[in-house]
Amino acid sequence: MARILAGSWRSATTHRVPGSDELTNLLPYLLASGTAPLAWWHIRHTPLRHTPAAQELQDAYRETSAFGLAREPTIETIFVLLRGAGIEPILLKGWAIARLYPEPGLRPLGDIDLYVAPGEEYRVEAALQTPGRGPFEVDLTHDLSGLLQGRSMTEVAARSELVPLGTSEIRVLNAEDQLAYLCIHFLKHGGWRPLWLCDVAIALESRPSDFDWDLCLGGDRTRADWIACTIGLAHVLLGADVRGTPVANRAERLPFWLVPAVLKAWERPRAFDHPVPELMVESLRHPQQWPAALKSRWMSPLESTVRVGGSINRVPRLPYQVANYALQLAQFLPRLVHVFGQSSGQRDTAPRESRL
Amino acid sequence: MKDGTEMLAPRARSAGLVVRDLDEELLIYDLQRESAYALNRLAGLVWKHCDGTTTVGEMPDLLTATLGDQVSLEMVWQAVSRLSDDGLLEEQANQTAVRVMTRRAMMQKVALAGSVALITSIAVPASAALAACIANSCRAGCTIGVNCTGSGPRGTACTLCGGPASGSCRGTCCDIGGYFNSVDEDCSGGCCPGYECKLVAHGGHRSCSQRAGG
Repeated sequence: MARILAGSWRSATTHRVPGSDELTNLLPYLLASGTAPLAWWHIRHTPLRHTPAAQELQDAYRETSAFGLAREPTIETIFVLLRGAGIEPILLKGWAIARLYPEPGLRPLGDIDLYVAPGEEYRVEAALQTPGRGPFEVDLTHDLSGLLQGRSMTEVAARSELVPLGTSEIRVLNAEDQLAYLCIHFLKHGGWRPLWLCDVAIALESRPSDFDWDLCLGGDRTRADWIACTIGLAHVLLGADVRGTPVANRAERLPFWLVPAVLKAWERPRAFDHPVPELMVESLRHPQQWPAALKSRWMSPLESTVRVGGSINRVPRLPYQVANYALQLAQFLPRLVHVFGQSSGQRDTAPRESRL
Repeated sequence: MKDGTEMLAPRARSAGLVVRDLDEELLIYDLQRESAYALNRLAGLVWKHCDGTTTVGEMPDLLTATLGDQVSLEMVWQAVSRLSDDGLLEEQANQTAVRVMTRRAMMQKVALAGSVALITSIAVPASAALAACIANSCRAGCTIGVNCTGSGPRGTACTLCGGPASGSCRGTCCDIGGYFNSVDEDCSGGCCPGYECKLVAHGGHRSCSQRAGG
């Protein structure tokens, strides 16, 4: 997977292309992980393009391109409606990243992820319920503090950028916040989706000449190292060019466990391999679900490290995984008391961060 | 094959289309039909030359000069015919074409051209969830989860919650409607039947909660 995606986001092929058999074997993973368009882009000018597997990749590339093309007017419409209601959202991921690729269709789009200021969710909902429009697949985020730690959202919004889309302008994070956001997002989800690392690579290589690394890395040393390590992963696994960056040295000295941990996560690159488990309070009502419920809370080394705010270093990860498990338990127990103290008709409404 | 039909000057439709040049093809999304087409280089160039002024008879020389390969009148007719069938030409031009040459005569010309001008119809999923479902399930011929199943050869529509478009795949469960039905940080993976994604009164978080009476 890493071999075929290496350098795939570039306009010209710069890395070795796989053999025909290798491509055939990888096809299900490429299709399922949303990286088939990039794989097609990588091999499109090679003899492999005439193989049956390549035709599947090309079909996926066309479908992704067509879906993206169909989705763009929707994004415009959403911004027009929200601005009409006095709301200025920031588009996260999706098209905000796809626009950086040589063709937007190389990067599949999903839900439309928007950041809006806290307290504006209800107004957004009202603004988008315009008769004859929608429904819109909007994914609202009101709190980026977990991904942009130590940063004032007011400042982040103030330095966000407007980029053209059709006849509109869409607000996106600036290049520095974008790269930081992509790196932390990748880590926070355990890095299971290869496409996210491609996003990091394209954001890195398309950065403007005046890119402010101090702004991207921030003042928190742990968090800065998380970003550096993620860029290092993009370098080691995908061949991202780190020359001339302050993270180049770190990219060459990743902890022994990090690359294998990500490659293991890539063995299950589909979204439905990573479902959000049922709320624990619900699982508790069904004893037969307990083993699966408890197992699902045991997270990967990478995810555990980030969730407990740990450093990505050479220390074995088991303590972090145990700590993360204990942390979830500590968050859950008071909630359990609270929930069972309420009337039986009420349900737990805990956010995902405390789903144990 | 001079019968006057080459004087036809078709006009490409412009309203309700979103167009993008891809690496080797021209991609057109029809907002009205909610369908998409990938035109190979020849078909794309023919479509771009359909300006209501350039005649079909003029196109072979123009396209030969652009492509560097010999383009015949039959090849152009093949493209025009298919573009017309797919609704990518103005209706007026289509009617003119019908008036000038019978459909049968057109098809005879098209048959001579072989399959050089290619237009590929693309199934565009109605939603991101369905796109993911097709990518993850139907394309790979495997099965998604408990409530959201889909199988079959590539391009087969997924069955969502027992019926097309009645819901969206979210992880192993089926997300049923709502405007804010997928929230990475809260209801990511969707809510199983009987549950819905609700805003929590305080704090702005969303979570899967049992439907009233569910």
